[in-house]
Amino acid sequence: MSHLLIVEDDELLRDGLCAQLMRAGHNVSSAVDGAQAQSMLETTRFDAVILDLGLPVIDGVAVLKWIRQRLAALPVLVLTARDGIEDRVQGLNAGADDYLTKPFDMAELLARLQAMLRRSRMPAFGGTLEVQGAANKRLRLDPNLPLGWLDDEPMELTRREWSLLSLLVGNLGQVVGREDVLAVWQSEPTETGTGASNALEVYVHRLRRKLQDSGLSIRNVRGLGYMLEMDPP
Amino acid sequence: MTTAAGFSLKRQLLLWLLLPQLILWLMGGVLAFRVAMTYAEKAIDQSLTQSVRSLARQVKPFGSGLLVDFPKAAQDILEQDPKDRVSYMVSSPPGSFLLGNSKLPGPPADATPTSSEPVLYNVELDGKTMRVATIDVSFGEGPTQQRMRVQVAKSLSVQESIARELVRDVLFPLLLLGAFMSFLVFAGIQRGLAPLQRLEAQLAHRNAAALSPIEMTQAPEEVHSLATALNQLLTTLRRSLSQEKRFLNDAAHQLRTPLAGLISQTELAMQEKEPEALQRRLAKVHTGAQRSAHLVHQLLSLARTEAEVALLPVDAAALAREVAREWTPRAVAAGVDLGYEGEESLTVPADKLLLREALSNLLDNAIRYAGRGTTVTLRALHRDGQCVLEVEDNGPGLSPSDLQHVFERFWRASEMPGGCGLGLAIVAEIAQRHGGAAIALGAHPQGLLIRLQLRGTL
Repeated sequence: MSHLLIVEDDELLRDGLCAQLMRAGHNVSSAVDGAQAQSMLETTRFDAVILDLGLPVIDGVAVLKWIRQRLAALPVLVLTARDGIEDRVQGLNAGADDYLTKPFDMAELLARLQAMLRRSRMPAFGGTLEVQGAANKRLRLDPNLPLGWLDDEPMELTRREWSLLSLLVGNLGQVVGREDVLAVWQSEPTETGTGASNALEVYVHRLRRKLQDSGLSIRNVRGLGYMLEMDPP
Repeated sequence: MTTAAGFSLKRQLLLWLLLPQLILWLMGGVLAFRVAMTYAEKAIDQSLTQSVRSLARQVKPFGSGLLVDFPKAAQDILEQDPKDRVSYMVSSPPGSFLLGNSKLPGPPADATPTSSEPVLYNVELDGKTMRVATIDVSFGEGPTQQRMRVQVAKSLSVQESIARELVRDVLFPLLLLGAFMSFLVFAGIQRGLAPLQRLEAQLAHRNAAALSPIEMTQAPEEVHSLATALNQLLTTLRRSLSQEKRFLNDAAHQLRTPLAGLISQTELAMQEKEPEALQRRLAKVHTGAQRSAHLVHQLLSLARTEAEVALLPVDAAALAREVAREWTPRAVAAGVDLGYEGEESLTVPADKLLLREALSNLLDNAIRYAGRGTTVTLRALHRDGQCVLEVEDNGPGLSPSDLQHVFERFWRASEMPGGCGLGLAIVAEIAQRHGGAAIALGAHPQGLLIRLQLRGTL
């Protein structure tokens, strides 16, 4: 369970966000303006902040800069009603980890928040990549060594299989492009007996076999790449 | 427009047209004075030369002395004008006064007067500048030969007064002429600038609503072209303002509908007692709110397409794949097989944000309307020197008559919820901003194909 701080001046939206995030299993606090947010951040430890940019008293960008000076590692998801490119760049430059334009889809917000929390708990290759497939099977990957476990059973993975699977797990539910995989492979030592780029299909095929019954499957997205999906329950 | 402090076209023209006249007048005066002085000096020199020669002839040697045959009449001539006093002196040997009415100094040391050619020079005498002519004559013979000096002098004040008179005679008419010409120049400038003043009068007191063309019937070429350029600007402004007004009108009307729906549904929901019916109402409220949100987003994108665009090199193929990847989860959820075909890389001059918006709209449209189980393909192709971006689906497609309307604002092919009739209008607008076009075609055997043709690949 994570402790989240929501900073939003619009009552309707703040109320809705709090309720939805609580239902998603988070511990939620809220602030109505920048000053209140700052005093709460000074006294309480939060796992992530959802911050509106258009705040009264102290505006969101100022709060963001303030946070970056004190709590460099705190993940911040910025909400903005303006969608001009300059506003986005300004927000990201000031230190936002991610942003969403209002109005947004609640599912989208939850997914971004989840990804942000996952990233913050895995500081620079420190922790294991982990994903829970359907049927409660758990896939874990070592961040540095070509090791993986499916429900605590060690998997047999070559280095390339491991790096491909790491990419897919890290981008669960999103498409990983062929060029992204090839770029990662190129930066790694060559594996004996392979080398041709069309071997990607071969690796995907092998991984699919190894992920059988895991509740996870690799979707081939025509001309775009591959996507790791959780099977519908 | 900025006005430099004190800069006026009229003042500038006056300055640059009248300044040369003033210079001409001053130079004329100086030159006339110098010329007059030269001529007056020449005249004085001539008369002095004559006088000194005549006087020398009147002095004759007489035995060992000199006889000056100086008739009263001649003396009168020499001393005629008291103001313009003529002085003379005869000395022998040169320098020792013999006779005359004034003591005159000798010529400069480097000049040797002879009996035929007098030496002419200026001396200061009693605070006055005098012009002196001197000749030396020999008389007597053999060892008794002696030299005699004859000098005649005249005040130079005569010369100056002559010159001054001459200058006055020349400069006064010139001054009158100058005044007359200045008047002509001023009138000419007034006349020349009058069309500009008329233009100003036409433009002043106009407000944003009065954008009718300026009427200029009689005006010089330059002012005419200025007025024409202004009229072109006014026409463009008028057109874009009326477009904007129409757009704002449309937008407000379009927003009214979902808002009216929302209000009626919430009113009903508040009266609803049965939980299940309440749920259904709330679901409708949610859909309505989403529709309004979508509409606002689309209206904003449409407004953005009308701003200035900066065309920079963009890899359209990579961008297309990126957008397609972003839409893949939505496509999967909607049961649509989304894919990409075409170039690996395709660089075109484009506004990346707008192009991304266009591609997003095309995919949104296809995924929304093609239906479950269909295939949607995004392509980025290089064809006949053009960049072609297209989205093809094998959904139900549109009738040929509907195909003509797809790019019209607020036109909708179906009453399927979520659409607002702006998506493809935005696509067409973005294509135009890139100097290209958007076309809608039927796909084979069925479906819809929207193609974006962008001018110029790199």
